[in-house]
Amino acid sequence: MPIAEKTPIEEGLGQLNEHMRTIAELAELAIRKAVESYEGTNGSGAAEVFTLDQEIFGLKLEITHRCVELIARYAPVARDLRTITASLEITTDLDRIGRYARDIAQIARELTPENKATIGQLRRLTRMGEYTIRMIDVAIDAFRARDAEPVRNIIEEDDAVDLLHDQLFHEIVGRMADRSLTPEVGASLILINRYFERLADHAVNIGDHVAYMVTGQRLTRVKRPKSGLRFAEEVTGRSDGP
Amino acid sequence: MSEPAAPEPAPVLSTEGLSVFAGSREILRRVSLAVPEKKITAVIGPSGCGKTTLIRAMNRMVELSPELRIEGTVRYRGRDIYAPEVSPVVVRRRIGMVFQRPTVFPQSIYENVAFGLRLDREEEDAVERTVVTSLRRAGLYEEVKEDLDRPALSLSGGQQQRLCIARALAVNPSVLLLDEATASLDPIATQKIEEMLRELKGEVSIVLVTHNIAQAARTSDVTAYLHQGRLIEMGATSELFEAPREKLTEAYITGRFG
Repeated sequence: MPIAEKTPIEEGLGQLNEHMRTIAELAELAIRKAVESYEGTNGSGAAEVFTLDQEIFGLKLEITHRCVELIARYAPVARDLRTITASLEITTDLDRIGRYARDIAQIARELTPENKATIGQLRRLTRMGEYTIRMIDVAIDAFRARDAEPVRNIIEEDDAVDLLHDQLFHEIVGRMADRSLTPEVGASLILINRYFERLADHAVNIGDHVAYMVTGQRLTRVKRPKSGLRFAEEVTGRSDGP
Repeated sequence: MSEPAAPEPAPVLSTEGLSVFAGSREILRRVSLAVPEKKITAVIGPSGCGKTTLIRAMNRMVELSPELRIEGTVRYRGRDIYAPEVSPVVVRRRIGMVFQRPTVFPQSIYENVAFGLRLDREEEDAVERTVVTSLRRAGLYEEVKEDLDRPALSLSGGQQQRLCIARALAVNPSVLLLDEATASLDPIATQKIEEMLRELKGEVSIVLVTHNIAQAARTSDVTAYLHQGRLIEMGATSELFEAPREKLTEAYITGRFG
């Protein structure tokens, strides 16, 4: 059976997709390594995150160049155009994810093993990391699969992360007040907590770009009126259902 | 409370269930669409999709091809242009047409534009004023004003096409139909005509048949996509080229077929 030849723009979009998959994998890896670096499970984690952040930035420049070239040469429209503009925007979010991973790793490098052990006891911080990474994974998987369905509720899931962020913030401040956390560790935790909250925002952005790329509509317009709030139930311990 | 939506302005031209047959073959299949006033409407689609037939039906040019049979309605400002009491000559003056190849007459530039006005037996002063105005509106006057008695055939292809547009404008139509009017021109000449059309749309409603998708995207306000004689999709050009509703439209404008 003859194989249909790809048009030049299909070739270019195929190469862009390869780069996008790579940069997404690097960003996912960077944030996981960053968490490992403060949990103390990977001694060389911080250095690896710094390298990953540089690779992400380099790939972002290459992707931007490719997108501009595709626009200039092929005047893309419809889904092709949306794929290119969404790729440009998603790359910026992935670059920011790499940068926050680097910031977290930078803090982890300054922490003593004792401080890391103290941090490891904060269950809310562990959950904050888990939720954020899960949101990033969902958004990136949706991008890979070109499927807007998995990100339909991502805004509500971010609301739950915001709620957890507030709870953790008050816990940290309380522990600093009763001196069970030193100011140095407390300040580091406040920053890490804040970075997770921002990382979840970038996951929402990626979800929004995926929805636009696939459906032509932004997330707020395609999400269901009644949504799951899966994380919220876990955070508050309450369920909306009977 | 939200503001009520502004009512859609009445279309200058509309078709309802418009079909055109060549023998038993249906070239256009029950096409219903509305051409908005004082905007540029692009009609795009693969070769043989019925684009040209559609606009030829819009000013009764199809009647010049005896093998073609028409069903359905075409309305100009709400009035059926095929009604027995309506003269096709009057229809074609209100709804002018410019073709792919410039159709200049072997006469002077001046006489080419004055052609339609002579049929009206207008005074020469009035004819001259209209010739100059029409050449200006078509963006050609500055290039030819030194010698309007020059043979029209000495003009370049792009100038000849703008001359044809000037001739069509001279009888003051409300609608201008352009059938691949820049297909035989180079990019510079094409750009001049597109600029002129954008200027002109403040005064005239324009329907632009083109196989050049990029031209439809950059020039028109509204785009209609035809496929095998059917209207697949019609909407704001910016929306249709960003997020078309129909898979067929998507496939065509992204070059996946056609």
